[in-house]
Order: sequence, then C-alpha cells, then structure tokens
Amino acid sequence: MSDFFELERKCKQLKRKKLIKYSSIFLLFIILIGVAIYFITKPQPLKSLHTTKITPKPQPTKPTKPKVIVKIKEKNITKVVVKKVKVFIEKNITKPTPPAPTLSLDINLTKIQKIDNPKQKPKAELKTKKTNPQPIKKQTSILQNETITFNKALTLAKKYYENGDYENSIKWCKLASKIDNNDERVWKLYALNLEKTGQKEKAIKLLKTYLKYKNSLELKYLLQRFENEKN
Amino acid sequence: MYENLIKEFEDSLNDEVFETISFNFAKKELEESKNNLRFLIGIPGTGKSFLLTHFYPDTPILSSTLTKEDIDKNLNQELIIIDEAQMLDNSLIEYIRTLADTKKYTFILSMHLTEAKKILQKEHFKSRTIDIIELKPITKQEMIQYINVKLLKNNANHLFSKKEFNKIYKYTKGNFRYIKKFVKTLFELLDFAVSNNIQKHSKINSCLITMTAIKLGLENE
Repeated sequence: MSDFFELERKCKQLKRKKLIKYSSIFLLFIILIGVAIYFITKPQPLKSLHTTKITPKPQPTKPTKPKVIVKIKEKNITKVVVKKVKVFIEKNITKPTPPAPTLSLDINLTKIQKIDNPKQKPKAELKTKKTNPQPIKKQTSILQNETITFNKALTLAKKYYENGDYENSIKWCKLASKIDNNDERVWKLYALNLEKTGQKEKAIKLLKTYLKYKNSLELKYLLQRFENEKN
Repeated sequence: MYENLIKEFEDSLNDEVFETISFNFAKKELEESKNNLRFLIGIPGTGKSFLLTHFYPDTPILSSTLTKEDIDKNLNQELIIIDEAQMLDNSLIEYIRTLADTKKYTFILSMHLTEAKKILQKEHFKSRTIDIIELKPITKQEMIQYINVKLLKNNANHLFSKKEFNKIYKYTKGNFRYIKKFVKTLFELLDFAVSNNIQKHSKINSCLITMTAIKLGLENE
C-alpha cells in the first residue's frame, strides 16, 4: 500500500476538479436564469404605428415630375409572378406617369364627376386651385403627402371608366396594380379599359398572363368573351 | 484487522455460489436445452466460467488455445465445454459446428457478448437453431445482498452505507468480478489506513471508494 498517499492526493485533486466543474455549471445556470428573468421582465418599448409620412423632396431641377412612393404588397404572390407581371407592364404599357394630378386622393367622388364634366362649374375648393399659380406642383405635393391606398386607386379607376375616361382609368388601374397586383378587380377593369380603347389583343394577353398564375372564373369568362368576339 | 474480509472477496472459481436471478435463469436454460450447440454469452466478469465450473463439475472445460486434436481427444464424452470461445479461429468453429450437426456431441461455447454477436452473424450459424443463453450483470440489490452476506459471515455488516453501495455499483456496473475486486481493494486500503493510524480514513468513506476506483482504473483522473 505504498501508493496510499498518492491515491489520496489524486482523490483530492479529483474532488477539486469536480467541485470546479459543478460550481461553474451552477454559475452558468444562475447567469442564464438571470438573463432570462431580465428579458422576461424588461418592459417592451411600444411599437410605433406604421404611418409612413412621405415628405416631399426638394427637386429644383425637375419640379414637374412628382415622385410617388408606392408600397407594393407581395404577400400572396410568388416572386416569379411579380417579376412576370412587372415585365408585362413594362412591355405593354407606356411608362406610368403620375396619376391625374387634377385631384388630391382624398377628394370626394362627386368632385371627380364635376371635374370630368367641363360644362359644370367647379365649386369653391376647385376655385382655389385655379387661383394657385403653380397648380401642378401643389397637386404633386398633395400626392406625395397622401398615402395612396389600393381602394382609392381602384375607386377612381372605376369612376373614370364609368365616365368614359378610359385613359385616366388605365392610369389609376396601373397604380392600383402596383399597390396590389393580386386583386382580380384591377385586372378586370384594366382589360375592360383596353377593350374600350380598341386594344383587345392586349387585353387578351393581359388576362392570359393573370390566369397563368391565378385562378379566376370571372376573368376566364371575360377572356372567353374577348376571344369569341375576336373570332 | 481486515485480513479476513480481504480473503473473503478474493476472486476464485472455488467461491461459494451466489445465485442471482440471471444466474438461475441461465442454469435452468442450460439444463433444459436440447440443442447440440449452445452459446453461453455475457459481458466479461458476469460469471460464465463460474457457472460452467459449478454446473458441470465433472466435465473438463477446454480453453481457447485448443486445437482440432484436443477436440478429437475429448470426443469420448458427449458434452464438450469450451471457455473463451471467441478466441477460436473460424476453421475450428466450423469443425465444432460439423461435429454438433452429427447430434452425437453437445458443445457449450462460452464467449463474450460482442464477439458472440459477430460469430452468430456468420452464414453457417444464421441458418441453424442455436441456443443462446445470456448471463446478465447483477442488479444493485443483488450486489448489496452479496456484499452483506460476505460481511455477515465476518460479523462486519455495519461497514457500508447505502450511499457507498450506490457508489460501488456506479463504478462496477454490476460486473461480478469487478465487485469482488473493488471491495477487496477497498478493504486493503482501509486496512492500511487503520494500521497506520490515519484517522481520516479509519472508516469506509467516499474518498476511500474514489481511491479504490482510481487504483483499479475505473475513475478517470
């Protein structure tokens, strides 16, 4: 038993090692719990509302070109679809000019009718616009300050269509499709506008593009009708 | 002071039979088996050789270093027992299998668990019905019972607490040979401490158990 004291020394060393190991694990555990408690009890900062106010950028060189920032929602459509649609729009439709700068977006629909009807005299609000020395600029700024919603654009497009102003209706349709190109109502209205302006071929192509990626019974019927009429 | 206990836990094939559940089960299976080729398997130290020695006291147990001639010499008896059969080469195993197929001789091959599995995977064993009897390690309760019986014989049943038994079982993992070796070494260390008047280790404690484990290589330093 000459190695008794050597064994005893090794035993002590081992115990020390174990103590260090377990205490470090314990310490780590305590730290983890502390961190967890800190994150649980930490007051969460209130999330600011997502109201993006677009301030107009000073453009001294090109004052007539309004900058309209539009949020494109790409929730339900795949990237491929978005790309295809963008390519189609670029190919078939002339570069989107800023939407009719005659009205601000929150204007009532009655106002549109009045503007569209040149015989009728505009009311007081419109008068003030007339007196404005730089009306286009002002309207641009209005556009920039407003958040263009899909519904607004669609309603305007519809109203223009109903009044027979297909060119303006197309413009608003394009804008609406930029905001949400999933909505079949825009595509339908756009196709109808194209039909009215004598671009049935383009309308058929447009509907086919949509139906390639999305299913819509209404648009299918419309396409059938266009094709039957063509034949 | 503890010489008697040290002797008590010495590893020997002439030891008294301590019948565990697994031991009894294996014994019964050996008794009832009618197959000419029987495999007694188990991890080292579970008592395979001990079981064979006690169950077949009149049959010579051949070692793994045997040759074909050694087998032929023993063909005058019906039962041939070979210990550590995992060491036999393939040709010899094939020879044993052929002899067993004659139904004249019965072979009991004792071997380690892992090697036995490899041998049994071979084609000529796959297609045959072989009796495989496994001897399992003893349970903690059986170990406590075994140590206590030995201690009682020497009037020293108060030496271990439950915690110490747990620690011994943790190190030995139910290996019968290790248990005997462990307790023997522990008593050697205790004996040294008492005879040298080392007060700290005058009783069995966890440090003495750890020291024993280090000495037997069961604890990584």
